[in-house]
Amino acid sequence: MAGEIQLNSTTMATESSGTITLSNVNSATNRTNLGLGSMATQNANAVALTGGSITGITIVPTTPFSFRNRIINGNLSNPINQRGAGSITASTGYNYDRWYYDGSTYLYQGIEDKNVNNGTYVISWEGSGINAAWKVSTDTTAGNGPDATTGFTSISNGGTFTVNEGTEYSKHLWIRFDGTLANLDKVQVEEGTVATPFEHRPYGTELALCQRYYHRYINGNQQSIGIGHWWISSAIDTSVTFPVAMRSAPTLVATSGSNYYYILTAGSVRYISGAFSIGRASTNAAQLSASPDVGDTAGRAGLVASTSASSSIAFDAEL
Amino acid sequence: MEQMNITSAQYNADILTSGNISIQATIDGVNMSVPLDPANRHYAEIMGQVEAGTLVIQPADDPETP
Repeated sequence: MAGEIQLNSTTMATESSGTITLSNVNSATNRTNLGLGSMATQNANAVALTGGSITGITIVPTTPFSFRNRIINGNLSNPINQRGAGSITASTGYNYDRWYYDGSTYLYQGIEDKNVNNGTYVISWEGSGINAAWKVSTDTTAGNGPDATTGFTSISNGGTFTVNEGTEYSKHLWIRFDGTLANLDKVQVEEGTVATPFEHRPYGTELALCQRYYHRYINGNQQSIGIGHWWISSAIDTSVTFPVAMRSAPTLVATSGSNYYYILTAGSVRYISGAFSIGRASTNAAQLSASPDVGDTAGRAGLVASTSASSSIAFDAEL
Repeated sequence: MEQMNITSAQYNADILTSGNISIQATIDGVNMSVPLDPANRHYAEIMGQVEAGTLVIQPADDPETP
C-alpha cells in the first residue's frame, strides 16, 4: 500500500512498500511547517547563512581565526614605515618595514624561519599587474636572506603551495613580487587552502611585529636616549632596552654630525659629534658608547639626548 | 639580495677585556655598528666578504668602552 505524509496539507514524504522517501523538504512552505525558517540552507557540503545568529555552539577550526597572516605589514595602503621611506620602492633595500626592494624589479618579504612550519599555504593580495613567487631559503646561515633571485616558484593570486622541510622552523620562506608594485596591497600568506579576507591587526600589534626586525629608537631633536655615565674621562656609555625581543642582536644605525647629541651632566652640556658604537648587544638590549667632544670626570652620570633634527638612532635585525 | 657594498670595517674593543665587541663599518654608504652575532645579516655579510678575501677588518683602536 502506497501513501504519503503531509504536514499542514503539504506533502513531505511518500511511502512505497514500506519505504519512506522524504521529498520537497527544502521548499519554503515545508521549511516553515518544520520550523526551520530561512536562515540556513544546505546544498551538497556548503552551508549558506543569510542572517540570524548562532549561539551556544563550539567551533573548532582547522586554521586559526586570528594571526593567520604570516606576512607582516601587508596593509600597504596604510603601512608601518619607521624608516620614513617615500614609497615601498623608494631605494634599494628596506623601505616600508619588512619589505626589501632590489632596486630594479623585485620586492621581497622574508618570513622568519621560526614562523615557518610545514604545511600548505595560500597567498592572496589586492592590486592588478602583480606577479608573485615563493621560495624556501636554501641558506644554512641565518640572516643571509635570499641568496639569489633564482629558485623561486611562481604562484597565482589565491594559489597554494606546500612547505615540506625535513626540519621545521629551520628555513626562511621568501615571498617575491614583481610587476606594478605600486598597486600591491593587502598581502596575506596563511596556512590552509582557501584565501580568507585580509586580517587587519591592531596598529600597535603590527608595529610590535615589525620592531622585532627594525626599531627606530629616536628620530629628531630633543629626544631622550637614556641615562649615561662617564666610564673614563673621554667616553660615555648608556643602555637601551628594546620594546620587543629582536630577531638577532641588531646593527646600530645612528646618524652623526656636529652637536647631534649631548650628555647633560653636573650642570654642564657635553656635546657628542662623533659616532656611537654598539656593545654588549643581545636581542633584548644594547650598550651605546661615544666620545663626547669635551671630556669630563669619570663616574659622573647624566641624561643623553638628541639635539638635532637630523639625529636618528635605529636598530636593524632584518633578514 | 644585492651584495652589500662595504667600504670600511674596524673592530671596536672592550676596555675591560680588550676583546672585540663590535665592528664599525660603512655599509652601502651608511655608518653602522655591527654586533658580533652570526645571525645578524650585516655581520654575516662582513664575514662572508672577509672569507672571500674582498674585505679586511682593521684592528681596534685603543678601547674606550667598558
